[in-house]
Amino acid sequence: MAIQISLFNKKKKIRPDGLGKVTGALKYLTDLSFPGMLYGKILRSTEPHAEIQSISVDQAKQLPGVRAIVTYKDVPGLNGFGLIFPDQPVLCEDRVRYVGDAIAAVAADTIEIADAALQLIKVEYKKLPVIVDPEEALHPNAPRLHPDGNLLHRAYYSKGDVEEGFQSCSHIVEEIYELPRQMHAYMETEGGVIVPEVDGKLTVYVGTQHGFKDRYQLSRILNMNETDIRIVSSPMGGSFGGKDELNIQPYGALLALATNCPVKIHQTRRESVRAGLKRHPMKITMKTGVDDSGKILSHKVKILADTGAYATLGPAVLDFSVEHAPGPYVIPNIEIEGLSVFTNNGVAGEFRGFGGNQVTFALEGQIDRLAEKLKMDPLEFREKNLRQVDSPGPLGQKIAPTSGARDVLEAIKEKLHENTNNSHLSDQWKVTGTGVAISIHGGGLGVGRIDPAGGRLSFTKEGKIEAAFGFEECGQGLLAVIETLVMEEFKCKEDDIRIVVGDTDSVPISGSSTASRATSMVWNSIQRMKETFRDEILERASRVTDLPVNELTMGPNGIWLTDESLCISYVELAEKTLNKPLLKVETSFNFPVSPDAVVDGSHFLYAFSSVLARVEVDLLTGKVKVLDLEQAIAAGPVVSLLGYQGQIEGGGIMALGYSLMEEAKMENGAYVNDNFDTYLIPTIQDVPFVMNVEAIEKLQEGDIYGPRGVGEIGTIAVAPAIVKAIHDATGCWVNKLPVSREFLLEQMATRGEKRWV
Amino acid sequence: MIRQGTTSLIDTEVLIPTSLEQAWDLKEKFGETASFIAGGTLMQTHWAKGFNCPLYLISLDQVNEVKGWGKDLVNGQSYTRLGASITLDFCRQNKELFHPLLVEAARNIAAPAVRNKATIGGNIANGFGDMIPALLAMDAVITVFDGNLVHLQPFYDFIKNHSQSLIISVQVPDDQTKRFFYKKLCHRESFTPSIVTVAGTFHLNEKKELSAVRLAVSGSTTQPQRLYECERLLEGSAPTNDQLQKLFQTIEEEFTPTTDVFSTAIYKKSVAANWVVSEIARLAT
Amino acid sequence: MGMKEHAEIMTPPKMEISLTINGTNVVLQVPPTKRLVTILREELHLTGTKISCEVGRCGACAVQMNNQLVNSCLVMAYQANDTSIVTIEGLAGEELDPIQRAFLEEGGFQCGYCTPGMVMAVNALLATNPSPSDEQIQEALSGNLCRCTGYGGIIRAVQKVITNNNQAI
Repeated sequence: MAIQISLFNKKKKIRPDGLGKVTGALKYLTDLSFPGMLYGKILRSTEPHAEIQSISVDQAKQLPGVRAIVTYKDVPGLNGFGLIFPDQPVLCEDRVRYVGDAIAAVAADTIEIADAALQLIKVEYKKLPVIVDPEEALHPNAPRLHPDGNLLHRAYYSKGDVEEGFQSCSHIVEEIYELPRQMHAYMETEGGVIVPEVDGKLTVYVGTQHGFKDRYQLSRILNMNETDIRIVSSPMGGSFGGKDELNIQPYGALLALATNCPVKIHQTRRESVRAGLKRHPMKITMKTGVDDSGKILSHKVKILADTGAYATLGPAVLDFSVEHAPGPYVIPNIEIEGLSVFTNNGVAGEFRGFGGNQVTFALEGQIDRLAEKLKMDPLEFREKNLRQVDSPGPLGQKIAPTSGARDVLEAIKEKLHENTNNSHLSDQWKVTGTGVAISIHGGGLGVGRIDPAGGRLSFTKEGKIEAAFGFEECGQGLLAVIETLVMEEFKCKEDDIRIVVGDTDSVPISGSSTASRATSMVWNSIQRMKETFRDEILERASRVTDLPVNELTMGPNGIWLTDESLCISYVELAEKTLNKPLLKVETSFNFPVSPDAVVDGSHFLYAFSSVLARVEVDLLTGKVKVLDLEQAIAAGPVVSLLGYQGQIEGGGIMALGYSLMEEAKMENGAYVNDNFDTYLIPTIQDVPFVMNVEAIEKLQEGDIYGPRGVGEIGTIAVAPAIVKAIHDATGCWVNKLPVSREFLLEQMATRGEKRWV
Repeated sequence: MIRQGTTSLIDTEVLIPTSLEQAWDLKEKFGETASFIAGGTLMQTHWAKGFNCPLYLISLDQVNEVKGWGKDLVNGQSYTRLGASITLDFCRQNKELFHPLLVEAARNIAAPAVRNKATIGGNIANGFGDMIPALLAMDAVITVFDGNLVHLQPFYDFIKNHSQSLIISVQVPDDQTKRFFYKKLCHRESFTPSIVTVAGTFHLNEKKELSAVRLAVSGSTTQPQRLYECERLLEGSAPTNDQLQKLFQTIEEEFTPTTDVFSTAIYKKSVAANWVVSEIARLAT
Repeated sequence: MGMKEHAEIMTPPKMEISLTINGTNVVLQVPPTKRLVTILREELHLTGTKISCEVGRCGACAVQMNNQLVNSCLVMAYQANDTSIVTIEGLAGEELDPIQRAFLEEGGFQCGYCTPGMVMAVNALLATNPSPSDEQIQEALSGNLCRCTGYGGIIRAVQKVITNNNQAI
């Protein structure tokens, strides 16, 4: 059986950034101010689709206190951005494609003046037909939103022969699943300060998930050398994928350069909603068939994703959905086609789970429906079709051997067993039910993609062990991961360590803080550096102390003589070796990829989860309340206990919101709910008061890859578990999120008239 | 500064009168360009959405007549008076002072930080507040100032006529013998606008017959409404399953909610009917 | 610099307000509708009070006004006149407040952006009700959104404070 830990019993370690957070002393980048700082505002399109006939800024320029206004004419380099290809104009010249498109930006002495100036900028539009539906966008006669048409990306995979497979099936389920546009809803909206430095360089204090990528994109836009731009990207008040792409940086930079003053932009919530990324709405058609014994024989999937107006990471998200469409199941005949389509809706892009959430909802829905048809226990049915330790990955590629799928299934079986008894109903108009779902989730960017990793350890002049990584602290707990791993490796104390992240001028290249990769890559980096670093520091200590190196060891405060006495402190060692070159060890490598994968983006390292949800459904209103949410996670060893627990619980509740209440509705290309009064995320009253997270830390013997990240896995299998629990309670299947109470009430009403007394 | 949609209003003036008369005179003087304000929690949210914010805000914070609570005799009956400036949180926290139906209604509105500023008067004046159905169901009376006179009127007249008079207080009968219910449905457990709110009160005699039935419904996009037909249907009878089924249909006919982007009128009717009927069944049988 | 040139156009009416912030008396000349959150963050550089929704629906800007929790984005300057305000910066003395300590130990935060408001909300609850029930905890914190933790760590932190308090008695 797997090594299991109850997270409650492990040592809880206080995060290095905790003190500043609980006291309010920590300065987020949107809290910064600089002498002579101006305030920037961005004028966004009022139209979801239009030609721009003219832009007049004359009147706005006259407004006293306005320091600069920039339009497309003022972009010195490439007027475009985008993580994969730069199809989104920084400032639109002749056409707008969604209501977040930027047309001008203003820097002024106060926010109020900047706001007033925006009102004075006159833009004449010629409205164009608005495409709000991806199916409509694919119609041959639909207006073309981009030169190559409206299909951003097609992803395809097949093996065996699905049609033949269906011939041999005794049961087939075919369903359409619809998933909503979800908002990241990070508490800190996009913003920061962009500062022109005296030497002509530019410092950008704005959160992002990949500082070097921002630097690259900005250098292209500003026509500046990358090395003349410094990105300071941490800390952040949440990101969840939403701040990986550029947001306000180009506008702040253009305005700072135009005025030679620091410029602060901090988007209001409404501005953030309008311009920011969302999770892809998807319509997924799945046809899945089984034989009499319960073996899945054939699985045919069609995914249609509404990617909005621009590409950003749309293609990669679709690839991820396609890859995860077979899930952790072994299926002989598979055909998956995904289309990601441009529309005039809000731009969809990277969001925690990265396309896995949508497709897992559909897949697990299929599994539960098939189990019902087979009259088989849903867990037994899953078990029958589950991947083995050495099974290939979902698209047939070689992956790191793992028993994760089976381990999470076993774990949830236990939980189900414990959870079945305790429902005591206080109300005749309420029913309860339980559901289980499982998931698989790849880490890293995948094969065929530039996915560098690395880090640096140094021993500073002040006697600190400095760990530097090109990652960002978004809130996920990166700093705690680094601190914990360095402490464990070198047996040193918190005070002995200095952590450097989120500053392109002082960190090595580590790749992006995305794709559940940072924890994994920090661990791997330290493994690669630890021996050299330890040998070197002990060697230096040996020379200074005249003690034999093989009797020295690293420990708290300094170097110890065979674990018994401190023979020299780190500070002293630093002082006595000041004349020597700085002790510095660096590593760089690539995220491990599958040796034989043929489909771009497919993965090598996977994490697994299983979820148990128990819900109460109100028969009078259709309201669903989640009473219990338990997750079992197989992602290798736990590095930082509170971080792990927080990621899984937090991810679970984000997914609870996705399941039951969250939808960024658009009508004719405009957002309907644009702030937290109408876009609803779970409050403390919507969550189970107690949640359980079980970590399955086991790795296969010989696994050299260490802990997998857990940033995303906690969000994946929650929705299907909740929906199965609703089915268990009411007999109603739900295919569309967020679960409509209205739909449930209607469905339940068809089951006969109520007996009131 | 007040944000109205995407603009910042920099020249809004705040006037702080110290009496009812002064407050009224200022409103007369500035007319449509002025508005009374108390806690201002909902008004600021509305302005942020782009609703017009007036040039002048007439704060009621220093007007003593709208403050405090106490006991009043109205037509020989004992009432509890709640000054318009009583905050929702004060109402929610003081179970010993106020009728449990009012406490329950206050508990269901917003969250503590908002309830600490939001007032009963403001909740009533905005026309869609969730105190309204509770007050309708309780046969409350309201004391208002119309520039000349301070006078008392039935609460439902005030609501029905969309009265623009200045609210001084509401008075709620102290009758604790009536059975009551209050329910509010939101898109999540709390702190969101109401989809449907229902409230009801009635007397139940030994023969399990109902009398003095009051049923009220509302919602954040639905005008508050008394369900007179339904009240009549129940008056004097002891409900049977058939009669409750009839009540269900009558609610669906009589209640006229709106369809908004988040919920249909049909759904709101079903919920209101389910709730009223189930609550009557629970409390009266 | 630029402010003088456009005095007529962009200068709002101002009033003098006097208030106590974290124990210190402050007198300010401000527009009467200037929001308390802006006064705190921009005039007084108390950036521990955060800004997120600006319509009182998230609690990131929550502070205490005359010992009551309020959203500082919904308090206009004239409403804060003659009041006593406590922000997150005013909570800890020499030592951390026990609530802050419990948040640290139980992981009652991740990105930390909701934390100041959340801590102030817990403080407001425990000041009037030292042993709240689960339901009372939920009600008291229902106006403070957290997108990171799923509230698990926050609930455990609050429970820890309550347990410690009870043991101390």
